[in-house]
Amino acid sequence: MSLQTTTSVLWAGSRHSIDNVTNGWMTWQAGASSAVPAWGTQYRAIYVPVGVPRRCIVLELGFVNASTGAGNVDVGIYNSAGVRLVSTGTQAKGTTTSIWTYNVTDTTIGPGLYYIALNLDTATDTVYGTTATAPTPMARGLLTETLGSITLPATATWAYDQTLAFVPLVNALLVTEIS
Amino acid sequence: MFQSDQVGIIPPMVSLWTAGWGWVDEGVATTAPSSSAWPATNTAYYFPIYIPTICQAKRMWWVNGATVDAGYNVEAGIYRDAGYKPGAKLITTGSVAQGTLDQLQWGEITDTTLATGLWWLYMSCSSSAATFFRSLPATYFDESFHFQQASIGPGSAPATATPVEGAGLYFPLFGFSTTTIT
Repeated sequence: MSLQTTTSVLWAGSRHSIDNVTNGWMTWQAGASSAVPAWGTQYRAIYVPVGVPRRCIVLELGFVNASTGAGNVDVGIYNSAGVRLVSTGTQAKGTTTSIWTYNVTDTTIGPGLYYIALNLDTATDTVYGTTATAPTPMARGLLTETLGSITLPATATWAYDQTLAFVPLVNALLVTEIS
Repeated sequence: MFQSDQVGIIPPMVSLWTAGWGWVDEGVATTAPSSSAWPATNTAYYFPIYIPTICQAKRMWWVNGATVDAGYNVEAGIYRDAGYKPGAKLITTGSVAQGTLDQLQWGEITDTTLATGLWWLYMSCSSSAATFFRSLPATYFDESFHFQQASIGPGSAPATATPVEGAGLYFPLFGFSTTTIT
């Protein structure tokens, strides 16, 4: 489905994206600032909870890239039971600072709780987000999983990470809301 | 406290910081959560929280600060509303020894269903030397956003709260989980 086609069925006034600031129950907390933290741990996937308010079709998944990095990323979306619904597969991260999005197979989701996942294969690569003293990201519901490769798993084995000290602002995705 | 398009979606972790449910992030606090000593020994605090959709509290939790001791005890729970004040006790963890520093600590409760509306999160601690993550509220918000009750130590949460207006600048990072992920 093309973006041009889908915009024709957009609800009046509806958004065209879901992200972890707008839909993550986490406003930009007092004292926080934009940051470009290093990913920290190779193959540590971070799963960020988002509330999807209505039925919609995921067209693209993405994150906000920062300038350090020659590695790869994988972005995916999971349901609340930890089942991967769709993902980008391995993508070169690059060094351009901007919102990066990747086409995925059109996937209908919502309404409900979902997790948008990001995995990097290079610990020193950076992404945009906000620093947050550990374990406050855990208190906001972020989950992690240490994987053996860049590929996000078909079924997540979630764990809370008491040492996670940033919230990646990585989870913009384009959606079309449908009735 | 209200995000209209998020109604009906249950977040995994609920606290005073949860947008649409709590209120601390909405201009009330002036700092990010950090470690600070509990305001007063054996004093309980009650904080309002709005539940926009029916949900189930499966565990309580709080975030320990930089100074902890297994000899310090903590109790967290949920109270019913009684005319915009905390009323009858619904569920608490009972007295729990404080755990590891700078870690989120779970407190077990019986799975408890919460209907839509106003509820009160409850927390007490046996020592003013114990530390927890908390945010500083703007001074003029303080009394508006909590009640407190003296001589209430962990394990002695009252069946019915008899609170007085809150005092002191302390919004602890604590709440309940709607999942059992560990």
